[in-house]
Amino acid sequence: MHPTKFTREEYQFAIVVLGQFNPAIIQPAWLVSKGWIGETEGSKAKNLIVHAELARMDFESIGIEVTQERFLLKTTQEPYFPILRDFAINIFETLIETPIKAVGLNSIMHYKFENQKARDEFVWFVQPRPTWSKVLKDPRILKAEMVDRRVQGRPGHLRVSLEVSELLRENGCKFALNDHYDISSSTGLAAKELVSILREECDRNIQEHSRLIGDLWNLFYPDNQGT
Amino acid sequence: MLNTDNEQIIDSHQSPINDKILAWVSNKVQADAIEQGDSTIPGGLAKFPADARIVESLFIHPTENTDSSIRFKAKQNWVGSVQKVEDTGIEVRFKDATTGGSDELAELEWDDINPDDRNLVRLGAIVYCSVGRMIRNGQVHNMQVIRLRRLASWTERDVDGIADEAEARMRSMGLE
Repeated sequence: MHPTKFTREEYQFAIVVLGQFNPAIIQPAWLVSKGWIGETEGSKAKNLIVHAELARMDFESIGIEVTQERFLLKTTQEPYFPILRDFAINIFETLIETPIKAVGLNSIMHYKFENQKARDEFVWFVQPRPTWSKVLKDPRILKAEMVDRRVQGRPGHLRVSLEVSELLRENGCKFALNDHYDISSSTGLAAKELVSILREECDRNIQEHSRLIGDLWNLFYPDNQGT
Repeated sequence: MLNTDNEQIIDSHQSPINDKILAWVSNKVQADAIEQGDSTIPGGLAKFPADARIVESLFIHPTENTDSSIRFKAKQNWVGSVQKVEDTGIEVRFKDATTGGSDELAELEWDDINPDDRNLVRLGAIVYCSVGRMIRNGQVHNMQVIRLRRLASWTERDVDGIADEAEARMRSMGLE
């Protein structure tokens, strides 16, 4: 018998940029002075580290972690997704000379099933068990991952992984989707290309990521009652 | 292969004192201390002076992340623009961010707007609104989150760039 419930309990979004960065300049005071973070929010930064090799801070709306090779912006609350995107646009419109190699738009979604049995049925539907049962005694899925090369539009790929949710261990699944874009422009233009990607792809990707999980559920259980 | 996924994201539900960060800080302090140590001391570790200097460049606020268990399940998200600004509040024309649909006019009181965002209110300013359930430490609250868009302020270089582009376009259209 098919389960009847499939609900999203949490959605996190992260933008990861690869390139060469100067972590030391990413400080709450600088972000406030630019107007990208409000004064009150800026003054309440938590988990704050600023150093030449690493900058890390958490604000009410977003979290930042910057090393010399990687710039990560994340939020764990859906209302702040557009705030995160705007923030990234602001940063890279200002740091326009930054050498950038790639950007990833990441959705992390935790879905809850009616019970563990329903979760397991769904997972075995996505990754069929019979093949592994022929070579293993008691196969279990730790993590399933697929890559889909983007054939139209900007170069890159989509990675989708499925594993047990650390938030909902008994009856939850975590889906992680990484929309990766290669950036080939020369230094002076790379940040501009990044900003275009953020402007044009962010919202669309967020919608596509949700739709993809919905489609997967619909394949398993055509009379969709997921939320 | 370049990796832009979220594997290194620190999960909001883990301990806010992240092991990776602490390990990095600890290694960094130790490595720098050794590097700057007095070589006349056996082992070359002048721990205290070097530590003090390094710690000065690392400002670490003790972590008290009480928000680590906040989750927000959005039911609906809107994007709008400010149509009217009055003493009592503002009028915003919203559109459903997911489904589109018809525009809706909403009146927001000043108290509905985050104090940090009030100075961003002006005609045409972009407003994001989400309605849903906030789950904080196991307690569920119906919530509305309203935030205004923050845009990079324009620099002299931006303005010059736009002026140059406009000039070039005028030239290409023979309107000089």
